[in-house]
Amino acid sequence: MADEFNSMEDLAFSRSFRNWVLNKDAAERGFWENWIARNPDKADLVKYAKAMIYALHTDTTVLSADEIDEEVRKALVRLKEAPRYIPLDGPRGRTGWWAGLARGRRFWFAAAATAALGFGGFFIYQAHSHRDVFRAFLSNYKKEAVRQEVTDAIDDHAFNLPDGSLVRLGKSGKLYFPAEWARSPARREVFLRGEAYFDIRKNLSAPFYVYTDQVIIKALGTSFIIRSIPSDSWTTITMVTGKVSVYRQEDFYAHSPVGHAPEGMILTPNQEGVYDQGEDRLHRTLVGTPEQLGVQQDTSLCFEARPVREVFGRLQEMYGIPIQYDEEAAGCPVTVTLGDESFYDKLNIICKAIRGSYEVIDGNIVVTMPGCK
Amino acid sequence: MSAVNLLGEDLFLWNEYRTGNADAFGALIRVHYSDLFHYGTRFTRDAELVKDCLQDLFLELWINRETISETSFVKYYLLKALRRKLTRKIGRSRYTGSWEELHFESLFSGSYPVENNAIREEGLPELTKKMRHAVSGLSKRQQEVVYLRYYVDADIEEIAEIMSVNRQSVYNLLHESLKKLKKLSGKASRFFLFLPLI
Repeated sequence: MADEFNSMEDLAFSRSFRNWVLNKDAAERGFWENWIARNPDKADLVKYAKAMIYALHTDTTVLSADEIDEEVRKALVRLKEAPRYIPLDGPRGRTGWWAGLARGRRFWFAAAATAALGFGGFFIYQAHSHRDVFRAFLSNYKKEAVRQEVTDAIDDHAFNLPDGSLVRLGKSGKLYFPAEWARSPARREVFLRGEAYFDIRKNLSAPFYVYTDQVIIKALGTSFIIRSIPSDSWTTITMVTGKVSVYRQEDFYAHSPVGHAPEGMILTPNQEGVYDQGEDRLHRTLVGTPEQLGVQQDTSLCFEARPVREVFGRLQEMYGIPIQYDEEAAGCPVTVTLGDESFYDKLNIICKAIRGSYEVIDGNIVVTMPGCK
Repeated sequence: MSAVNLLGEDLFLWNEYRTGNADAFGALIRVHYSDLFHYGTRFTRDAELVKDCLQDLFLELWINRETISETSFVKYYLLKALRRKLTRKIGRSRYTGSWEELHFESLFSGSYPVENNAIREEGLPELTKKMRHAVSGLSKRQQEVVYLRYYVDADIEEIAEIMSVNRQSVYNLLHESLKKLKKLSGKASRFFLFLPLI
């Protein structure tokens, strides 16, 4: 026991020692007086620890038990009157005034605005090249409550959505979603501003949509990172596992025939989709350092005079990245040993062995090789 | 400040609260109120503001009870949530509108109990004065780490969680702080230098 107190802080941070120092009649008295008598060599430690305790003493407002009870009572009264959701306080900026209007008055406000602007207003709206996705998102939930999760500039925050999907919302982020999700919803929808990691719980009958100011992402059961910072003119989607479709607003909201999905771009693991607002185009590329899928196994792979096709097949399997090559040369034998190098280092080793080269095109690896010998 | 080991009871109350038991929630906030309030008043002298923040925090916790995760560290979860809330309320710079690091303000500013009978021990009042001086020389973050370690009994990992920094920084902050407090006099530092050999 005595060995446990070998420094000033061991003593000062001990609740029992502290109790005794601050209250000589504490129940611990017997123990500490005894301990000190048995450890004369630690007299200095005890003195310093006491000084530390006195120095850390604060005499600020201490609430009485009655005052605390009163606060707890107040809190419980407020719970009973609590709404079932946190009212949307509307982000500052372009949608703030709109969201701030009471729901009932919003219609009249819009009607009056339309009347005042007449057809001119209509054309202004059309000329605005980008739809307000946020408003479109909110309008779907006019009757239901929309909740928002917000993070500040120094913190991120992980939480579960009503369907069990996990979200880690980055700094200064906002995520909006319906406060209550139907038991078997036709679709699950959220709106994101900022950066967030999503791990979507698989539900094939209810696709998960993430709306952002620039693009819409549709997922089934996957994990990915979206970066959609309001001040940026681009949005990126980085795949971790699974598959998503990314849509430009125009394609997403285009009137498509029933049963036809809008035209989008599919992303698979280790691919990254970038939407460029200036060009209004989606690009597909690879993440900077592709990661192996699943659990890292013993990655040492030896190929002795195996067809190139088999080597690439294995690599594609490990990273989920499509590798394209000329079928004519695919049967050529190659001898390589791959260890725990990065994806690109592995590619370089293989290309050196086959005297070929590769390029990243549209999120695929395209290999050029001269053929056998 | 608070009873020592409430982990089991805490967990029970927390889980009850998550299923919508208002009484359990009341009991939970009753248990932690004084620690939360004390911590909150380290950041501002405005006690009413801290009370308001706590009321808002409780309401939010209640409304979000179904989406709040299971945690085995209820108290630290609450402290972190309060810190987050205070940052939003008072951490915003009036001039730039941007968020600032929350300042641990009025720490240990009370008058020290030198006149107290308990402190009549020889040399102790002087040492306490020096110690107090050393404490006020610590950075705000160092003070906050010491506070959480001392008043809330939080360990390195829990402090890291509350302050949203990594464990290594907490360890460094605490280590540096204690080093400074031990360097009060030549005698003390010599004494502590030999400590590891004992």
